[in-house]
Amino acid sequence: MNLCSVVVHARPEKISQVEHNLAELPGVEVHGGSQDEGKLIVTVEDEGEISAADTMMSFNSVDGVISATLIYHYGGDDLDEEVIREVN
Amino acid sequence: MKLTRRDFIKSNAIAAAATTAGVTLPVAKTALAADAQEGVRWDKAACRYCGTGCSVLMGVKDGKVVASQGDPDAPVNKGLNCIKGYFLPKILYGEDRLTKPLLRKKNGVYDKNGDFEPVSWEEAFTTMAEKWVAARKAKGPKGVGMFGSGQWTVWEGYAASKFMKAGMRSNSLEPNARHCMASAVGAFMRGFGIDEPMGCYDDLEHADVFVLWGANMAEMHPILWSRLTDTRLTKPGCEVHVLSTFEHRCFELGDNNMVFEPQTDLAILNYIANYIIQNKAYNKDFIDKHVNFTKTPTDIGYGLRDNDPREKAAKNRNKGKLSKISFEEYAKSVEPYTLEHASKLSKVPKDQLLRLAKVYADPNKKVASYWTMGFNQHTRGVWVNGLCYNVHLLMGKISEPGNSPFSLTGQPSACGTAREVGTFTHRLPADLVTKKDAHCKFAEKVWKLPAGTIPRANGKTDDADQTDISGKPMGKTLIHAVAMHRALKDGKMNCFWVQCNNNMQAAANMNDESYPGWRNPDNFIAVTDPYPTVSAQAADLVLPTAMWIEKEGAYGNAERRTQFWRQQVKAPGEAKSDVWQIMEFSKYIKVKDVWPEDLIAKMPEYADKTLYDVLYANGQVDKFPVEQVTDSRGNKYDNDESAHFGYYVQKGLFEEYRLFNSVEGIPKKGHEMADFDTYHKVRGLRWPVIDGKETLWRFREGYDPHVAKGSDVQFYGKPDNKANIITAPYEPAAEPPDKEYDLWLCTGRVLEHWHSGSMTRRVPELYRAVPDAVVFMHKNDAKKRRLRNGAMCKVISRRGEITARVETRGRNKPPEGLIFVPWFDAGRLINKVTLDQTDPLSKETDYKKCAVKITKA
Repeated sequence: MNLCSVVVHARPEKISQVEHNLAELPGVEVHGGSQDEGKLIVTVEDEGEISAADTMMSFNSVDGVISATLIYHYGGDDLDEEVIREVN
Repeated sequence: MKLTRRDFIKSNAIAAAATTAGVTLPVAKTALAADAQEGVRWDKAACRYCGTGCSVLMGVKDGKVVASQGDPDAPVNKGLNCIKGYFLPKILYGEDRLTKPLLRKKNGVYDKNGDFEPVSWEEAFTTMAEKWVAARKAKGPKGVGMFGSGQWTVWEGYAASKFMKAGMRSNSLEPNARHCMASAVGAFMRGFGIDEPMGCYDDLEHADVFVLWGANMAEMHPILWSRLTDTRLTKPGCEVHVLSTFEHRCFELGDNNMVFEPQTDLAILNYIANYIIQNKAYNKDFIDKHVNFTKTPTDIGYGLRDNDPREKAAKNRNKGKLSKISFEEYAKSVEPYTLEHASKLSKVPKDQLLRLAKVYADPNKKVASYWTMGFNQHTRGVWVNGLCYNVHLLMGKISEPGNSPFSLTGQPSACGTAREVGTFTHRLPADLVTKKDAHCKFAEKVWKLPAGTIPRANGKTDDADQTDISGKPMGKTLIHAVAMHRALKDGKMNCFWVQCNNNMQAAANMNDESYPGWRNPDNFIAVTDPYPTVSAQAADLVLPTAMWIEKEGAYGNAERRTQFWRQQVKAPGEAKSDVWQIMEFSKYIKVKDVWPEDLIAKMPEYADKTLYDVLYANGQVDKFPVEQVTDSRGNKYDNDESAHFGYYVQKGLFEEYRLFNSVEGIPKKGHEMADFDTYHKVRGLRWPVIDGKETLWRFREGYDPHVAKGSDVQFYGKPDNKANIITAPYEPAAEPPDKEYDLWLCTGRVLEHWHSGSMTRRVPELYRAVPDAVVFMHKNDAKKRRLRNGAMCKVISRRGEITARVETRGRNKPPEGLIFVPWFDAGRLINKVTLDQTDPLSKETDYKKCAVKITKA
């Protein structure tokens, strides 16, 4: 199982379109960003047979994307395990 | 509320991305981040792939890598990581990892035509040593050869250099960096007398204008590209100029995109120099004080075999000796390169060339120029690197923030290992060279070896012949990478050891030179690799290795930054690191097997020792006792090499290496490094490191402590502290298209695969994304040949052919008349097609230009 976070750099004038197009991709969530600087904070997960990496690699063919840089990647098998912890 | 690990991990992933990007998100998104790391041990490592030198944090749980993150404390990547970073953990765990030595055998004994059978390390090395000693005795110093890598760790390269040059008494040591950085090195040495860029990555934030010369940074150096993009989008007036022989992803950001005819970069750079001079824009004060003008011999051939008609026709074949000229003579030499002439040759519209020339000529604009293989893999590679320095030197736009001619590297330690340690045939550590008797003597003293041990380039010490084990004079000893494959084919070299690269796939002209050389019945080929690559399969002995963070390591990146990492996990099965293999193998060879009596007589106490005893158990390398490697947070790490040899191997090798670059009385200053323990604590340091401080911009007063007060700039690699402007003309390529072979072939890489794909092609996602190499071509060229997008075609040259799919709509868009084929694909070996032409000065192969035709498959 793979879970990644990615910073996507886009042409500022195209950012809302890019955000929309990215969110359509399997396993992708856009969590916010900065329109002025053309940056989006995105997470990508495996979805069925489509791995997070497959999806990330398709970012570069989304019109308006200049670069997509990976920040964090988790590849352990224990993502669905329940974690019992006190959360404040 | 029920929470899964996913919630914590995701929260942490978002927090890391937002922090890195400098973006503020609602607290709810990141609330669980702090608790995500349970049971995971995090530690830094320098990335395994390109020359950028990003630092990544590796998360290890139960002895296995489970997570990775761009290192937020790393100045290079500031928490970012490119797509290849995702695959860093996965490259360790490919299903076909090699875990045992494999030897070709028939009826229980070694046989060149046998099948691979698992053997013990002892049997592997005993068989190999027998072959090596015999070849060394029979064929002289070139009878054996080793081919290493810019992916070797610093101490692996150092151990190899010592093993070959001092132990085996052979200069037949080359790195794959010969195919990649040799032209850049040649230009640094000619221009500045000291290797590697004067600037650093901080220029990515300081420059006003970026010019890309033959570098597809968007795909090959994505993190630097991301920093450049940030500057372009946030700094008013910032612009990006892109030059390439085909359209690629950098054009998305470019403000002035230029597709030029192959080889005409020479003419464009001379035009810019001419423009600067004609408009009297040059920095007169700077060139008067800090620059010499010189010229280089022209018509120098193409590094082909001696009997090639192009070599016979060359007037000054392989010549490169510089002669001084005046500024006026220099100005005259570039005068023919008018805007019209440059535009006609290059096919770039005049207004675009003019716009480019103007930014260089504007004293108020800070310009950073970047290049990689476009300049280096060029039959005039040293020239074209130099022509770019000429432009920067004319303007004094060098060695200060934002003004930066910058040679990017393709491998993680092409700088740190291949170049700084000196694993080239002509080099010794810290820019010393085997053609200088004094440098060799210095190395012999440091290594506690008798004077005359290291073979000189010309085989002479104190003007007398060096004797060889064969009893004959040593003779000339240098041999470069391409010549090694020719020597194997011709039976002049009988043993070859390849480590940490896939040279069968990587070297040009595989059909005519590489393969016949490796399979020559007289030859014994050993390949050290984690995977059964094309090279491993063509070998006689395959040695499984520990890769990357399965060992303690150090890399040096393109901005002179030396970075260390600790061993994070164990290698599988019996796999052992390259440094272990070199040192262990040296136990199987005795001094008297390879050194003549007169040399041993100078140190008779070495007579009955092994190479291991004299090279590594020498009181220096074995000086530091084994210690429990522990980080500042108390986490503990293994070190399998130290456990085996009984001393802190990496520390001993590195501290001995520092005797070449960081103590009083060394022949060449300027490469100073910090001590071993410091590098384990910091995110790398850029040399020269003086009094614990790194150097960002070299040669400039105030930034570089080697520059004397009041002198402003000193190019101290040269005796008179002046850099060379070196004039060189445009000369045509070796094999331009003609009537029959009517297209240029350019080869290169794609984002998803790193180099020959021996690691990345084992990752299913990468393989799926870009499974096979395709032929990128213009739709009109396809149409003319009645080929549709997606159809299979044959790419045919005078040497060989491959079959691949036509791609007219891909990310790379060649102009009419040129095709681009990536070379990662072991199923479609494009190097059957390429020509083994080299820069006659640097001996680096030009993979970017040869003539092909395309037919329907």
